[in-house]
Amino acid sequence: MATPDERPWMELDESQAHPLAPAAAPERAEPTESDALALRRRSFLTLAGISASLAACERLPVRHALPYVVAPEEITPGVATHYASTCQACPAACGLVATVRDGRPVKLEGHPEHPLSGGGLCAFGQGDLRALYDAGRLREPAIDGQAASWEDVDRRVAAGLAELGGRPLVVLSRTVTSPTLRSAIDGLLARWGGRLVELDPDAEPASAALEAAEILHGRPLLPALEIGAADLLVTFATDLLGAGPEPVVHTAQWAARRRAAARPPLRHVHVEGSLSLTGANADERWLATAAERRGIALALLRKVAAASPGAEALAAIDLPAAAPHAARVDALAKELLAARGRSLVVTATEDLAEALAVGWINRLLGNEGHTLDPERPSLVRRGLDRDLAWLRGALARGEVGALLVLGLDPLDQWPDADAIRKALARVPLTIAVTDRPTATASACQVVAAAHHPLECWSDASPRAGVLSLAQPAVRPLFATRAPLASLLAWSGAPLREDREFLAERWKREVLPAADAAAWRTAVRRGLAPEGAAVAALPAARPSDAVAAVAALRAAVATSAAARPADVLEAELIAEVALRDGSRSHVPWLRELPDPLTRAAWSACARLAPETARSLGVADGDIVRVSVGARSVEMAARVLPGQHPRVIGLPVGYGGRGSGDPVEWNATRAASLDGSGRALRRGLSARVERTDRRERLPLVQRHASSEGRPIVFQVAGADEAVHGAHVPEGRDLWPAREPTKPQWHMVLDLDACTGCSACVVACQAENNIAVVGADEIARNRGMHWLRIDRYFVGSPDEPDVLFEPMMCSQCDHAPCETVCPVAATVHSEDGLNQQVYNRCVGTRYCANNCPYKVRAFNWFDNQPSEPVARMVLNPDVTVRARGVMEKCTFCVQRIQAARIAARAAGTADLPEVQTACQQSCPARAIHFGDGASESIASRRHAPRAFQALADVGVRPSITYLARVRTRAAGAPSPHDSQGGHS
Amino acid sequence: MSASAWTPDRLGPAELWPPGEREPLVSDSLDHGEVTRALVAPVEGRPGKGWWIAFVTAVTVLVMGFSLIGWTVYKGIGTWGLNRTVGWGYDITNFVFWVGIGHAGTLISAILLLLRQQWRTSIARAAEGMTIFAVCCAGLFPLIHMGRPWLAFWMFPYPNSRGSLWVNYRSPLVWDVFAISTYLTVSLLFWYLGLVPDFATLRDRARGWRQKLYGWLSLGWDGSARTWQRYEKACLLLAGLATPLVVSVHTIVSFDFATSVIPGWHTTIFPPYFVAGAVFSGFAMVMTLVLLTRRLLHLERFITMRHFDFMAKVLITTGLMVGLAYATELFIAWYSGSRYERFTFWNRAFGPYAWAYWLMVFCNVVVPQVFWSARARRSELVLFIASIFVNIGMWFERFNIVVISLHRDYLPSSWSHYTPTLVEVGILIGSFGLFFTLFLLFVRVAPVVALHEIKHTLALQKEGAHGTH
Repeated sequence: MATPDERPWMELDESQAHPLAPAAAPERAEPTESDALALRRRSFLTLAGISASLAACERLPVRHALPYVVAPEEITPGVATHYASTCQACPAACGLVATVRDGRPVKLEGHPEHPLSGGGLCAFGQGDLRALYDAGRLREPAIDGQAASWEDVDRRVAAGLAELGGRPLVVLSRTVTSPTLRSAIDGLLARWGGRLVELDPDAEPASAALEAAEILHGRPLLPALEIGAADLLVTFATDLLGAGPEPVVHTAQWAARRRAAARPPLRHVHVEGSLSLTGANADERWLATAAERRGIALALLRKVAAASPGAEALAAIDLPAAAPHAARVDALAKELLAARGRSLVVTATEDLAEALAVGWINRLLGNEGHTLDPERPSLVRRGLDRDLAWLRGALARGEVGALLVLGLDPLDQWPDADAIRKALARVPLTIAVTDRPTATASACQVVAAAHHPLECWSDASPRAGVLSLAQPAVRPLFATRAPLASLLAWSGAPLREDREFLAERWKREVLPAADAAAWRTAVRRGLAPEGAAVAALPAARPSDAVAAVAALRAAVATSAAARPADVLEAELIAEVALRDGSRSHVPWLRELPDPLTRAAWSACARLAPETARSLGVADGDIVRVSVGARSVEMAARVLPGQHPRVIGLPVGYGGRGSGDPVEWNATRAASLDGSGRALRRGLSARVERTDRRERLPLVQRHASSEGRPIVFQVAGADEAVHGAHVPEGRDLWPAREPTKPQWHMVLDLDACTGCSACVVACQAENNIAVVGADEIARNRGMHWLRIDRYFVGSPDEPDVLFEPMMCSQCDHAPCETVCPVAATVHSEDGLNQQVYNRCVGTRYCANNCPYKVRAFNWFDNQPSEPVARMVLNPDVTVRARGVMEKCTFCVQRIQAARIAARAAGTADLPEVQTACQQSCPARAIHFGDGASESIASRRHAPRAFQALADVGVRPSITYLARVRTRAAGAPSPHDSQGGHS
Repeated sequence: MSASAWTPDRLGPAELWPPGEREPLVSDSLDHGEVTRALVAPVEGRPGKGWWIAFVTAVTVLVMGFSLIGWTVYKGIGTWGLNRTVGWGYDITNFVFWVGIGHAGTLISAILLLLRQQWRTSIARAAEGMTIFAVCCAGLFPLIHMGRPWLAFWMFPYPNSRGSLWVNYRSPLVWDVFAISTYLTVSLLFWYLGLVPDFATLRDRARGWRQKLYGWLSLGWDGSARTWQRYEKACLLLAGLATPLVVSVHTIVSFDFATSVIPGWHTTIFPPYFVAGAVFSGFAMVMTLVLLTRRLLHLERFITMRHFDFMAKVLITTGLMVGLAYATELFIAWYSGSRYERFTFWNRAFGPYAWAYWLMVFCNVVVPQVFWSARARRSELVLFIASIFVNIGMWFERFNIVVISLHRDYLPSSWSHYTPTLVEVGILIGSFGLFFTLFLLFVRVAPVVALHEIKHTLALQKEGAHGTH
């Protein structure tokens, strides 16, 4: 919204603190008795005023971030301040901007200047804001289950570490993307001796790919993907656009590439067993089990190698038995060879042979350095299975001297909880650094209650050459401590404050000039300046082609035994809402329906229609899935597009012993597998029906568009949509002289991946209440923006279409005519306004809405806990019970822009971004004056259509049809336009 | 025919009467004194056991219903089974159902008065009372279906200090407010006006506080020829005023649906279809009620099988009208070529609520066909069962219109299902409690058959008898 020279982001720096801020005030200013006796009226009032203001800030002396009690000049109460920072919800470390109102962050948005994520922020990252205000957060540290002071904690840890006696200190963390945190961990380990074990519970299998990278490129780091440079993208079971390693970055690249008009359209072929968001968005989707995927990869490698000089050894590699889709493999190999240097093959697999084959294909096609970059690798996945195996072995053998768990909850996520608990009890010192009471924390001696990332200083380097800074957006709410500060305290470093340590390291190692001004600029931008020295990478060994071929040959030789016909393949998957479940206490994320199953609050076992039929299972029937001796029970959801031999089990739900207040479906699919890695593929599973049922909290129960003109796909970007004409009927309403602007939105369904970032953005921006599983099951969700999902074509291999649906602000709004009290009216600028305090709740408007986008407050839904209420956006009314609500096109942002324009004395409004638009990683949402160039050109594009145009309500939302590029000879998507399932 | 030999029990089908003679509407052995004594007995005497059982039951159900309404207001509309797609369910179904019931009274007293149908006299009073009480029940539902019923007064255009805020005259709900309140006012006036001579009779017979009460209620009625003349004129005027209302109320209620954009609602056939349906359901309810009252208050000499014969004929006629409307709807849905319309009606007949649709067709179209038989038209049992079926069928007609159209409209992604909660079912039953409580109280304070009109009918009957002999 702001222009670049407006200093859009502030830093929270002590140099900015106002002299009258409580930091400068004495701890207590209670007058003595004699003073009190001498009080006069004026001095009494003065003292009363001071004590009132001091009473409002009774916390510890503040050194860093604080809400302004006495505002500095540039802070105006009621006017938002923005802080550039870095998202730490997952290792992808996207840039973010925190909107802070009166000292509390109320919204997280993507950082538009971030070189990788570029303005988008996923649902998971945005949900992290709600975790800050979670009433169940740890509020103080504890020793042996008793609340303790930080001094006691430090004493206890120091004493424990002093008695290690040569046994190692193990730090268990998810992949550490922060170079500063890594250096603090290195410092701790250097002091006490030990080892860092990295593990990503939400990650699809990366270990094999890391090993393959080690063999092919000399170090266990994944090459960074450059989807934007590719013309042909082939992905094997990696959910790049959904819950993959860097969903925002990859979605942004993928969508930008699809929009690039000057180049041939990106063709995307996806091979998978369990339907993922990436599969749903691919142009072509092949169904294959894990073993078949290996076969396909090796077959492709043979074809590619046969056409590549000097690769005879690879062309002669053995093919496994399971290599289906032979004809398609031939055609795809030809396409790949035609796109040398412009193609990209990616896999997420546990199978080293498949990972190596894919690496070899990319190398033979000359893609390295073009569409993937081994020299500038991604740093978001560094967990190796061999490290994890070592830790589990060491724990079992009692060889660990001290265990420090940073954030993770292995006790909950690993299957053999009792054994781990016993092993932990034998470790002399166990420390959990966590912001939540987790199962692991309950089994640890010391619980170092951690700050929420929005209360911490940190930095992140998700890719070689990219470094961003994280700064606090709020003063710590509780007596917690930054994990970095805890590590520094325990390593006995001279600098013990996270901010000092970070600034010192940046000035010393990162910034070109070690002066305060450079640091301040970096803090303000949230990014390291151009040309800054960023984290050092492990040195690469020169790769040995002969050895790499030999490694592949060896890997191919190991093959899994064939599976009997009555055994299905279980695939443990992560959903975009909860991923590994580490934020499963965030109500926004629980309420967020999965874009594919459309189920919220609940894990569903995904079964192909054919499989469901043969098992006699329907939606909501509880099935028992057994892998070896372990089993879980889950409600079934029949999902077209699922491989008939594969059952998909999301891992993010439920949790053992976490006392989760929002727990609804205590399922933990992750416990199926004994390895401790969360997302496994190719598990042999027996599935049986139980006689129990469950009412699934589904937000959409009908999958077909019934041939109605609602959603379309076309075969090429210039192809027009057929069958979505706008009737040229006579208008019964008096013509209105249109004023400027007339707000209009264009949604590009070709860019939209269904990732649901916009849904959470809308929820956060507009104070949308969370209603819970039972209410969702009753179809009473409050979301203003939902992403409808339609299946087109055959139920076995359907095309999937996503369509974000929100209030269309119709010019002829049917809701407006029927409201008896004129609580919903049309504005001059084309908005359909909802006047909450006038609404009496007849629900007539919702009944008369063709899009069913209005939500009624059936109960009082807003949270009552004071902490949870801190997240509310003060710009948006909190709706009462009995009132209708709906999307307003973020009218508060439009009004803010209007006020800004008026204050500046200009007639033109500054650019307005709606919350959904801002968060969209794919930039699929365009918003502005309907007559403006950017909107008008899209509204009249060939692919443009309006949903239900034939009803004649004249919606202010235009959709652009999805483009699906089929291989030559394959059926055109025309055949199934707007089609059936 | 020998007048003295006639007793109600021996009243047979009309064709049993000799040609050229008409079956009397009321027993012509009655004299005026007997009429008065028989009809004021329930008002003046002590209530019997039957009345008490009925009254206690009705009040219990009423209290239960109002407790559930209290619960709804306290907790929110979420206590009902409604959802994001189906915003109206039992609430508006009950509303339209009760408004429809409220139709018969004014139709009988106004239109049949204008058409000089003498047979109306015996049932008019009860039907008018039923109208008032049904409209009270109907009015309850739009009130309690609101999310914030304490703000219901915002539906009225009254001068206020809220700036330019005013009601939205484009909304059919506002028209409803006017239509229903006008209808209630006129019906109440009409009913009261008819009661005035009877209140005077009661006043003349009563002593003590009852005399005072009825004296006050009878507005100084003196029984003079001038008063009677003015009374007749006023009745005629009010009948003229009320006649368009009979048509307008349900027309406007139908506009709630017809002016919307929802397939299955957006239908031009709705005004006549609703009016026919309302007459149908109103007569069915009058029949149920009068059958019961007749037995309870021993009014067999005043409300004879000939009355039921007439009512059954109205039922079969209006039943055929609604049947025609159902067929027309189906035809037009197909003929329109609109995929939404076609689907909506296919979904009514074969979708998840098909049972409700076919129940409606059975009750409203098939069941009334029994009245082709004259014997059935004069069998209390058949009449009672058929009238109950029609009541159920007409409730389901409204349910089908409200719920089945809503639950699957334009966007398949929003398709949903509606299952009522016990709270909603309890409130529906409670509205019957309210209705019967009011009706049972009514029969204790005013003659349920108009004294003066029966006497008038008796006089006409005798004149006619002398004329034919």
